[in-house]
Amino acid sequence: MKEMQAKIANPKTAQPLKAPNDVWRRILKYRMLYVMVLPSVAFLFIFHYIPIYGASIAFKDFWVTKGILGSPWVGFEHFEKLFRTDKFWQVFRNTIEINLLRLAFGFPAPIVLAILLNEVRNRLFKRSIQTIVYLPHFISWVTIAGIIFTLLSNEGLVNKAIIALGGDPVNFLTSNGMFRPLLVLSGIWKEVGWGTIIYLAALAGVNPDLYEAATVDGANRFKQILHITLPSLLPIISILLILNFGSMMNGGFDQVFNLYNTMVYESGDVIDTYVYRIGLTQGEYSVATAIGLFLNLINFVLLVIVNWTAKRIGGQGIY
Amino acid sequence: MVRSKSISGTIFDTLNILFMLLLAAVTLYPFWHVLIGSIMPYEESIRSVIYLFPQRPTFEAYHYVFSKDTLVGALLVSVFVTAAGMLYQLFITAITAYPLIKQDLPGRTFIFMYIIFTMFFGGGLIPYYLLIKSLGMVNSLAVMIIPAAISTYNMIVLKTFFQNIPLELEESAKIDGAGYMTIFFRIILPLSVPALTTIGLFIAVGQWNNWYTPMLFLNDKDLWPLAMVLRDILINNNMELTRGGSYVSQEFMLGDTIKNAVVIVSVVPIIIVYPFIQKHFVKGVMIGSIKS
Repeated sequence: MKEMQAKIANPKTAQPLKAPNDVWRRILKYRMLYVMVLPSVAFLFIFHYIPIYGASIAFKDFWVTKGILGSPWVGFEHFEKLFRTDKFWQVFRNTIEINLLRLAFGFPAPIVLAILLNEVRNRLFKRSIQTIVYLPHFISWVTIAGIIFTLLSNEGLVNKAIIALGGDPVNFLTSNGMFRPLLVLSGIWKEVGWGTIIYLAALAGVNPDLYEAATVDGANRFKQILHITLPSLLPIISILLILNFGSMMNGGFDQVFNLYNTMVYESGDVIDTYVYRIGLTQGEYSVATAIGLFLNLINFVLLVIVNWTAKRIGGQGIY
Repeated sequence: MVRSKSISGTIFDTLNILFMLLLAAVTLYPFWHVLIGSIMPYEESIRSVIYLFPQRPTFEAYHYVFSKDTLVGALLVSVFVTAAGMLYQLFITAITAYPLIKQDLPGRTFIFMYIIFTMFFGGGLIPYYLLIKSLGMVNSLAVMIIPAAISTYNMIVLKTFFQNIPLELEESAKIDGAGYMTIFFRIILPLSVPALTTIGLFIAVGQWNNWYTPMLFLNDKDLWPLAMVLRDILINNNMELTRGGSYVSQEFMLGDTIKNAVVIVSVVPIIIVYPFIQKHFVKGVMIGSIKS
């Protein structure tokens, strides 16, 4: 009986053999398990792998009537045309610049908030604040954009307040100077609370004795944060920072698409929204696919690099 | 945690608490503004800047919203798409996660990589659009449910959860002659109710909020879920719903009030399930981001 339990507890001793017929035996034994994974393997094949094949229209002169197979190959023509288009480089630059802004302001925000939340002593108060700040994460950008419009439009709350105080109304929604701050700030508003979860979890593992010892040594709260809290967050901060670079080309379609308008294309149009417009609004399937493919390739390479770096630094990657 | 009560410490605590209260206000006020905006009479709303509470609340906008076939229809579509999508996606995700916990399943790594790869590389929007079109799923509610069969991220979370179920339970069932399908339905699923509930609610919120799929594939307004109608009203400023037929003058005044009411109708279900998700989501986020 004990032997059997040991075998169950340690699957390695249960199957010591790796002979070929052993593989067949296991396949036969597990045949039901293959049936179980079959639906998602099939669905992913249809809805994910077939579109990867469909991306071949980036190298073709695609005609809907001719289909993917029937359309003639044109090689890199679409890419060459694309790389000569100013608009493409504009959205390319916009995407990177907006993401650098998000990195500069949106990335540190949850770290700061987590540190401050960690300093709140009253547990009930801390929990209530957490409950409140996590909430916007679950609201869609459509709804949030709608709320932002009611608050920031020319007749909205903020402009009413500005006028009441004797100022001139500000075009928050249609000026190129305002659009990027709007993206960054609304992004922080929506996600800052949610972003603290991972940091707070890391802080929950810090030994309270450290703080006590520091207090005995006469360290004030600020010094404790600087010398205990922050260092214990550093590993997770560095990993998340690296992972962040993996989504550098991701423009945040939901947010931009719901907030932007033709007046702010210059500062706010990103690759994803551009692909959507030229592909589905203007029907330039091949060019839009070429951009999408280019974007996905960059993303893929970035992810591989980022994951490799994260694994070397912290021993953890995304996959 | 014992800490000294120095003066600087007290000042810090006070400022910190004030900051937290400010943050809570900044987070909640926009929702409050919309809520009050939905029950505030028009004449009152043009006079006030900050809405704290209306003097004469009116539920006219809600009467209006629920008297419009389009909006009630959209609500029903949303409920259907959310419920069906959640059950379907949850089932496919769980039944995929379970076989992958068997370390000695031949081809396990391959299947896992096959699934994970979809997280990192795809054909892009246009080929996907053309595929859905050629499958005849345009203008069919199936497009809101069928393609999103499995979320890789949720699959990893569930797999991690299944891995922590003691093997002994499964072994004893096997001795009783149960096959893997039976074990999955009779042992694994019932033991995973907390994880399934959490992931199910996450899927449900995603389905409820989904405006992107209908925007791409549903041209028929009768098929639109609430999120899409909401987008049409809020972002495209389509006032057909808020200002239709013979009531033009009255509804013009109601316009913003109705917009606010629609926002509230779409947010309330999320707020209702929110406490249930919150109970588990910290765990979910942790498992998903660290262990994978």
